[in-house]
Amino acid sequence: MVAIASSKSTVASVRPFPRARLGDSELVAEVRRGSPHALRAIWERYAEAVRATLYSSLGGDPAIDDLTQEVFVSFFRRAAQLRDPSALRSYLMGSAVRLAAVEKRSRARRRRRLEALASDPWGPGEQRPNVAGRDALRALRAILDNVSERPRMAFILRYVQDLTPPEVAVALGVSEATAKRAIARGRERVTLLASREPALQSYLGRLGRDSE
Amino acid sequence: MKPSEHQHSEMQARALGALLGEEAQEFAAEHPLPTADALLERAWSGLAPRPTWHRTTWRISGALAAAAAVVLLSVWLLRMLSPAPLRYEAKGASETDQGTFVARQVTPARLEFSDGSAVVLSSGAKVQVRETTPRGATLLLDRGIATSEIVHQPGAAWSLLAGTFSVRVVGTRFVTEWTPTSGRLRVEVLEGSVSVEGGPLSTQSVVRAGQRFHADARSGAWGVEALHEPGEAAAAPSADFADVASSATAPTGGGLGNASGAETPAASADSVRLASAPTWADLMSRGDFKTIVSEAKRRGIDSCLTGCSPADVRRLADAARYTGEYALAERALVALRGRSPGSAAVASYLLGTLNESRGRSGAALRWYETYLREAPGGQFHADALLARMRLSAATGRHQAARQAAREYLAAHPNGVGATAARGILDKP
Repeated sequence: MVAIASSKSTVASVRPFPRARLGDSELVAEVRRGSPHALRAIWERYAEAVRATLYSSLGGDPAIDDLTQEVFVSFFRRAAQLRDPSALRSYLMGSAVRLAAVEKRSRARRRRRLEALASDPWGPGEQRPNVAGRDALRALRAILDNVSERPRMAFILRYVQDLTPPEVAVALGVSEATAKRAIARGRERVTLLASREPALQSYLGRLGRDSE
Repeated sequence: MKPSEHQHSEMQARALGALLGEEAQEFAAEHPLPTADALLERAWSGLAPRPTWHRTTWRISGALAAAAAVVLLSVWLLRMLSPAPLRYEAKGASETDQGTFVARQVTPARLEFSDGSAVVLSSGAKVQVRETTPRGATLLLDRGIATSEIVHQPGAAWSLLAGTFSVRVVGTRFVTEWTPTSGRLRVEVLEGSVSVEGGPLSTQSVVRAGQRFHADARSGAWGVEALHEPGEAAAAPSADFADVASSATAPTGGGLGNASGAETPAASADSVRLASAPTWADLMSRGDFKTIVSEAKRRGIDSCLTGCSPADVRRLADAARYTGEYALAERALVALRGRSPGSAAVASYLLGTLNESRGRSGAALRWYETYLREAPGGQFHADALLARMRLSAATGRHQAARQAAREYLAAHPNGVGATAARGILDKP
C-alpha cells in the first residue's frame, strides 16, 4: 500500500472520460471549473441549434458564425451565475435571441448613419446578407422587424425553436405568465401583419385549404 | 384584431415558424458548423490578462520559451523511447475526480484498457485508477463490486487495492467485493489465480480458479473456500464479459457469495443495463434526439413501440417531434396511449398539437377533445380549451367554438386567451 501510494502517477496520460456522455448539469459544472473539454462538448451539442435561432432572427448573414461563438463565449464567462444548469438549452436559446436583438438595434443605428450619408448601408467590401430569395420568407422577415423585441423573441423561441412556454420563460428570464403574454402578443402581431402581406397570403391560404 | 383572425393565429403562427425553421435547416445543410477550436481560442483569450510587453519581458519570455522547448523535447524523447502506459476509457460512469469513477445507481460501468483488459463496476461501485503503466494498472476499489478480466501478458502487473488489502494479478478473471463499512473483502477467482495480501494476513494468500477468498479486517478472520459446494451447479459467473459487451443485460455481481447475508450493492439482473450504452433518458438530457430516433429505427419501430418501456416510448415520441419526424411521433404517441393509461391524456394533447402543426385541424380538434374528456383538470386544460375554441371556429363549428369560449372564460377569466374568447362570444 505504501509503495503504491508513493508511486508516480501517470493519470494525466490516460484518455479522459468522454464529455459527450455527460448531462448538461455536469458539463456546466465542468465549465465552471474552467474545463475547455466541457465547453467543446457544449458547443458540439448546441451550436447548431443556437445558430439556427440566430438565423431565424437575423437571416443569412456573414457574421452568423461569429455571433454563434459570441453566445458561447458569453455563456463561458457567466457560467458561474447560471441558476439552473439543467436549463442550459433554454439559456443558450435565450442568449441567442437577445444577442440577435442587440445586433438588430446596432445595425439599425448603423444603417441610419449610413443612409444619412447617402451611401450604401452595406459597404463595397461588405457582403450583403444572404436573405432568402423566396418572397414569403422575405416578407416574413420584414414583418418580424416590425414586431417589438420581446414578442419577437418569444415568437421565435415558441414557434421556430418549439420551446414550451416554461422554457421560453427561462430563455427570456421572465415569469411564465409574462412569457405566455409575450408569446400571445408575438403571435397576434405576426399573424396580423402576415394576413396583410400578399406574399404570405397565398402561403397561409394554402395552409387553410390543406386543413379543411 | 378581428376574432376570426385570432382564431387562425395559432395555426398560422406554427406554419410561419415552420417556414423560418425550414430555412434555418437549409442554411445549416449548406454551411457546415465551424469547429469549436475558434470558440475555445476566443474563450481563453478573453479571460487572459492583457499583457504589457517590455523589452526585458521579451528577453525573459524568450529564455523561458527556450528552456520550455528543451524540457518538452526531452520529455518527448523519453516518451518515444519508453513504452506508453496503458490508456483507458470509462463507459457509463461518472468521473467524480480525475481518475475516480462511480457507477450509477441503476447501471453498471465499465473501464476498458488499451491492452484489452476490462473492469466492470456494479451499480454504485466506486473505483479510482491510481496508476497506469505499460504493463498494467493499480486500481483502488473504494466500495462495491468490481469484476475484472485481466489479459495475461508477459510481465503484466496489475493490482487492485481495497482498504488495507491488496490483490495482485498477472492474468485472470475475478470478482472483488469490498464493503468499507464492515471491512469485509471477498474475492472470487473464475480463471487463473491472484494473490491477496494485507489486512490480517501475515503473508500472501494465493487464490486459484474456483476459489473464494474472504476476510474481515476488523475481526482478523479470513479463509479460502471452494466457490461451489460439491454437487452444486456452478452458477454463471456474476460478470460475463461477453454479455456485458454485446447484450443489453449487464453483470450484477450477483454470483458473488454472500455468506454474511449482507445486502450487496448490486442491483437485480433486470434493473441493470448495458454499461456502455447511454440510456434514452441520458440522450434526452443531452439533447441528442437524433440518436434516439436512429436507435429506435435500428431496433425496429414496431418492436420498440411494443417492447420498450412506456417512458422510452414517450421519449421516442418527443425525440421524433423535435427532429421533425412527425409520422413517427404520431405512431409513438398512439402506442403510448395503449401502453400507459396514465400517459394517455397527455399523449392526446400532444397528438392535438402535432396534428395542428401539420395543418390537420379536424384530427387536432378530435385529440384536444379527447384530452379534455380524459383530463378535465389536467395541466394542459387551458391550452386544450383554447385550441378547441380556435379550431372549432376555424372549421366552421361556431356553436362548439362558443361553448369552448364559455368554458375557457369560466375556468380562466384572466387567461391569455380571454380576449379571444370574449371576441367569439360577442360575435352575433
